[in-house]
Formats: sequence, structure tokens, C-alpha cells
Amino acid sequence: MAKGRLTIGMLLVLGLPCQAEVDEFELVLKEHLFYPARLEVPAGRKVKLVIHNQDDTPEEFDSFDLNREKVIFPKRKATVYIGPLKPGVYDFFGEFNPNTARGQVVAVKQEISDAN
Amino acid sequence: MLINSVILFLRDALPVFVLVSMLLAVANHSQRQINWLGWALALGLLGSLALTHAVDNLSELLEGAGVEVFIFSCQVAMFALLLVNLHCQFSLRPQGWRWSAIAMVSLVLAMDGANFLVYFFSYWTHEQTPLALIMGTILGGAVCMSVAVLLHILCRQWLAAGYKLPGALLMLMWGAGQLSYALNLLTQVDLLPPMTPIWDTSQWIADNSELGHLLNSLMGYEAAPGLWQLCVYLLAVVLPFSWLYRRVHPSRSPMAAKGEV
Repeated sequence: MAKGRLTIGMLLVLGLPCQAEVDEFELVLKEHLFYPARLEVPAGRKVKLVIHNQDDTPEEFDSFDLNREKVIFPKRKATVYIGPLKPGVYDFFGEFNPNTARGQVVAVKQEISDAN
Repeated sequence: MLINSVILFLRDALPVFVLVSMLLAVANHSQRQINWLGWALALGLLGSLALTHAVDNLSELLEGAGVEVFIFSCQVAMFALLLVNLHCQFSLRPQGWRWSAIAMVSLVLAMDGANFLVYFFSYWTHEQTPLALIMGTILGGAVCMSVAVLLHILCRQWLAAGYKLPGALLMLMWGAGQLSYALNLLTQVDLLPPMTPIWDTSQWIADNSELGHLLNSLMGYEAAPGLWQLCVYLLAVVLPFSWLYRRVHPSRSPMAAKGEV
């Protein structure tokens, strides 16, 4: 009985999403433009992207490269998790204003600089 | 803006047109009244208006994951309704078929309609000349209608020839595609671990190409699916389909071959 409980407990722990610390990056949408338009993130790690919509209209953050889509309502923010990404350039755009709201996530391989 | 309106309408409306065309083929073949469709469209439109009104606040729930969790729950319910609908179709239960069809169409219309209405209302209230929006919606509607008519004729032909299974397979693939898409939504809000693509066919058929959009609406095509998505997709198609196959061809099942049936 105890062994069964232990097994279920282990399965639950292993099945839960990893709660390790995640780097956070911010994007701002203003007048249908993303700032910064080119965002560098570490490759090989999951990162948290917080997108602030400062416009008066909703916008849909969309990326076929990142396989993400999320509507951000006016004067609100939204969170999207991306990665782990291979080093490279990943396009994203605003689905409602695709001619102006465009940007790129650049996944950069980081050198191990922290000796500790 | 015209092209964008067409693309957005196609993305949101095509899955609804695909589902309705397949259900209508079954209804027409069985000579059922189509008043169920009127109820489904009315409920779906009301649902999409209500959801458009509430989605702003919904997006703030569960630490920003409210919309994703809501859509995932609706997709699970929708797939369960699809299984009920197929069961009723194959076991000749017209009342069950009718109610499940109404619930399924109204649920999908509410979800996909709300997505388009957010764009529609935002554009309508901020642009002085919404002509591009209206033209885009009409053009998108015409494309959706064309695809739906072709699919409807194909399904009617199968049913008229006595083949129930191809249409059922198409419906299962459509439903599994919707379910697999919803899994990805849970990943983007960190409720599921990240999904590494197990292959990438975007060089042949990209997700953002016309064919990619069409295949996605028809059968949930994704150029780079994750392992979870693929497993859920295959299970959602293979298990119910094998059950339906055994219903239609009891003599060909392994149990029957051993003489146990």
C-alpha cells in the first residue's frame, strides 16, 4: 500500500511542469509596433515573455516559428512561455496589424561564463 | 487589410464550415430535418457574442492562463460530444445525434466566432472605412462555403455508396486536430512542459501557407508537432475509429475470427 502511494507520488512529481527559475523578457506594443523589435533570449532554455499592449485596440501576438498565439487586450499584459529554442531567428507579428507589428526573437547560444 | 481580413476569417470560420458540412451530409443522407442547424447557429452566435464580451476578463484569470484553460476545457467537451455524435450515428439514435450536433456546432462557433469578433469589433470601431473588413469577410465566407460544399458532396457520395467509415474518420481527424491544437495552448502558459517538435515538414507545407491553413482546419495539420500532440492525436483517431470499424465489420474483428463472437 505504502509502495503504491510512493509510486503515485513520484509520478505526480515527475508529471508536473518543471518549476525551475525562468528568465523573463518584456515586449511593449505601442502604436502597432513592437519594442524591441529584436529580442535576444538564451538558446536551450525556456523563457517567459511578458507582452504589454499600450494601444487602445487588442492585438494578437502570433508566431508560426515559435508556435504561439495569444490575444492581448488594450492596456493589458499577457504572458507567453517559449523555448527551449535552438540558436536562430524566430519571427513574430501582430495578427491584427501584420504590416507594422513585426519582430524577431533571436535565440543566442550563451557561453558558460559563471565559474560558480 | 483586405488580405488580413480574409486570412483571419478563414482561420476562424473554416473549422466551423468543415464541421457543419460533414454533419449536414449525415443529416441529409438520413433524411433528417435540418432545424437542428438553426438552433446550433443561433446558440453559437449568442455564445460568441457573450464570449467576446467576457474574454477580456477571462484572460486575467488563473494568472493569465484563463483563456487557454477555458479553450482547452471546451475542446475536450467538444471531442466528447463528437464521440457521442458518432455513436448515435452508427447506432441509429436520431435524438442523441441531434442534441450532440447542436451542442458541438454551437460550442465551436462560440469559440471561433469570438476570436474573429474581437478583431472585427476592434477594427470596426477604430477605422473610418471598414470596407476592407466587409469585403474580406465576404471573400473569406465564399472560400469557406466552397470548401464546405465540396466536402459535403464528398461525404454524401461516400454515404450514398454505403460507406459510413470514411466520413467518420474525417470527423475524428478534425476533432483530434482541435484537441491537439488546444494542448499547445497549455504549453504556452506553462501548464504543460515544452514540446520539442519530433519532425518539421514546414519546408514542404508551411503552417502559414494556404494549404497549411486548409489542412489544419480539415485534419489538424501541424508542420512541427510535439510528442504529446502526436500521441493525443493518434489516440483520439485510432481508438474510436477501431471501435466504429468493429461495429460496421463485426465479422472482420479478431474476436470473430477466433469464433468468440
